[in-house]
Amino acid sequence: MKEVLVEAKNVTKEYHLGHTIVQALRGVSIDVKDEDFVIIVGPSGSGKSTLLHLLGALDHPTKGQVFIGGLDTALMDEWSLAMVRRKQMGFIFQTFNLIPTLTALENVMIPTEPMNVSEEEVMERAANLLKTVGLGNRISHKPDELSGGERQRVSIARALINDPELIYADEPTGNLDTVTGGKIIDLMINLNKKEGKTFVMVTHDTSLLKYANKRVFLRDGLVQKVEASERK
Amino acid sequence: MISLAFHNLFRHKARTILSLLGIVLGVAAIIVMVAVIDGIQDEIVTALSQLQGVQVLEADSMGPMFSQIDESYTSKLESIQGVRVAVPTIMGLVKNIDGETVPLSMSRVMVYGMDISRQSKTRGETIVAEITKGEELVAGEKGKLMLGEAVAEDYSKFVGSSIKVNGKRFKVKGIFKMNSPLMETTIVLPIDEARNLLDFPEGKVSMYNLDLVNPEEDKKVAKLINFRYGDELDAASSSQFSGEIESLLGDLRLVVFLVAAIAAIVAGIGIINTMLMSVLERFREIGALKAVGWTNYDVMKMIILESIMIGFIGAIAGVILGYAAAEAAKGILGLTLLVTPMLVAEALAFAIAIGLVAGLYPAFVASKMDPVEALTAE
Repeated sequence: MKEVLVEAKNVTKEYHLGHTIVQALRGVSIDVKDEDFVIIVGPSGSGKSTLLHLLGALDHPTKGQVFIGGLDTALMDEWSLAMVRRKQMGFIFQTFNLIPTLTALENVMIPTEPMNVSEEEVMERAANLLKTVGLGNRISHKPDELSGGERQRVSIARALINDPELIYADEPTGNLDTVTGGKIIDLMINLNKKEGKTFVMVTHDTSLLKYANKRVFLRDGLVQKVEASERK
Repeated sequence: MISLAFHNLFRHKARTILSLLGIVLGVAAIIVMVAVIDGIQDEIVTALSQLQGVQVLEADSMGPMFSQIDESYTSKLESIQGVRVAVPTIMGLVKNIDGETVPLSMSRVMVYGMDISRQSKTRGETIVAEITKGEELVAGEKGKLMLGEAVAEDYSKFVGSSIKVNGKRFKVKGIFKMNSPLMETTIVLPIDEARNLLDFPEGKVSMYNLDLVNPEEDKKVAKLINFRYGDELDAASSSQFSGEIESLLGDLRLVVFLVAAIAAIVAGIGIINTMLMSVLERFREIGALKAVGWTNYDVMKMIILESIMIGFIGAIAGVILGYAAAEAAKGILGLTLLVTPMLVAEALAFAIAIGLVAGLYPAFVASKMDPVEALTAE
């Protein structure tokens, strides 16, 4: 039995839009185990990104609890949550969110910037990660000199810099063409299988479901069904 | 983080340079304006330091030009303990030279008539620092005077030249220099000649310069005179006088600094605007930084660093520009400007402080950005 890394228990999330209350999540429970490759799928507005933000300690649920490594996020302050994100998680975004003035290498290093670590060590690790994602020869290029797929590879390397066990990906292929997107998925699957990284990915693209060992179908803020299979 | 902040500054070069320019001009204004005051202060202090001893004026007079003291005080003052010589002096403004009216401007010419025989007995410095050409006046001489270098230059006079002062003709015997150009517009002549020239009442003098047995006792002697003759006389030591002038100029310096500081504060508001725009534009990036584990404090630090850098770079450039402008003013306008290391340090510290303060609000805004909103906003 694999260890549970993150667990959401009956979480709801409400937003206030002017005077109307929008219920993004209406009681969702889900767990993510070590080395899982979870895909949360659903149409836009189903609450899948909201769920990812809750699991990623970026936001608090309105009701219910989120446990990360067994700890209730409601009991952690902003600083502790930042530390959890820094040490245990990596994030990959649809829009990459790289810093345009920095090179690929510097972008990969950015999460370590506030940390008291040896710069050479981090630089070496960042260069190795860029090699791993296939950008060994592009380390000194700035984001605007890279293609969309290359940028997403940089952001994958950035997500890995602190060697987290968990990586969250929010529509990582959403801004990429099918071929490039496919390569990004391959890279993530490789990291999952070879290095045992746990992935939680949100997408509306049902064709990607075949890669997951756990598939969560969301609709209107509720889990419709969960399909789980043992990892191959 | 320093290099990151530096890179961030130059994303919008024009915008950053414009806010830099505000700080540069503010700092340069502080440097130039305060340097003028410091220059004047330096001159006056140098000038005053040459005048030793005690000056005695009429009680409640507005200054030596308005003071009249009975000449009988010469012996009374010399009998006071600690006073070696009391030199009676008559001062006044020159109305015309060689038939030309002397304007009452900065280039006004002053007559300084002194008792030459008493003056020659003094040990301290006189108002004349150095005779550069010709010779000093001797007691009993008539029809001769000494010119300050500035007067000699303005009226093209040499040793031996003839000069008509207030309609009376004199021969230039010597030309002297003072350590401060402010006091070089002076004509020195024997007291009786000065009395004639200025129609100064008989039996009266403008003031006394006292030469002391012990120059360090100046305050004590002044006190003694004020105690004994306080109703008619007002004695002041030069050190006391220069202290007053220095404190007055100190106030003026503060006022000038504050006026220039307003310019720099306006520049600071420009920095707030620049930083705020920059932060709002980067909401997605800042959200991403938070998602990858930056704390609110880390984000705040980055923004404040950027803002301090604007202050710092602007300060350095402003000091260079201000210094260059001060040098140019010296060369072109002949002004005395003094750019002291203290002034440079003050201007630098001020600009950096403005950068810091201007960064606080944008940094606060950035640190409060919700990563979720930052990442989901389209």
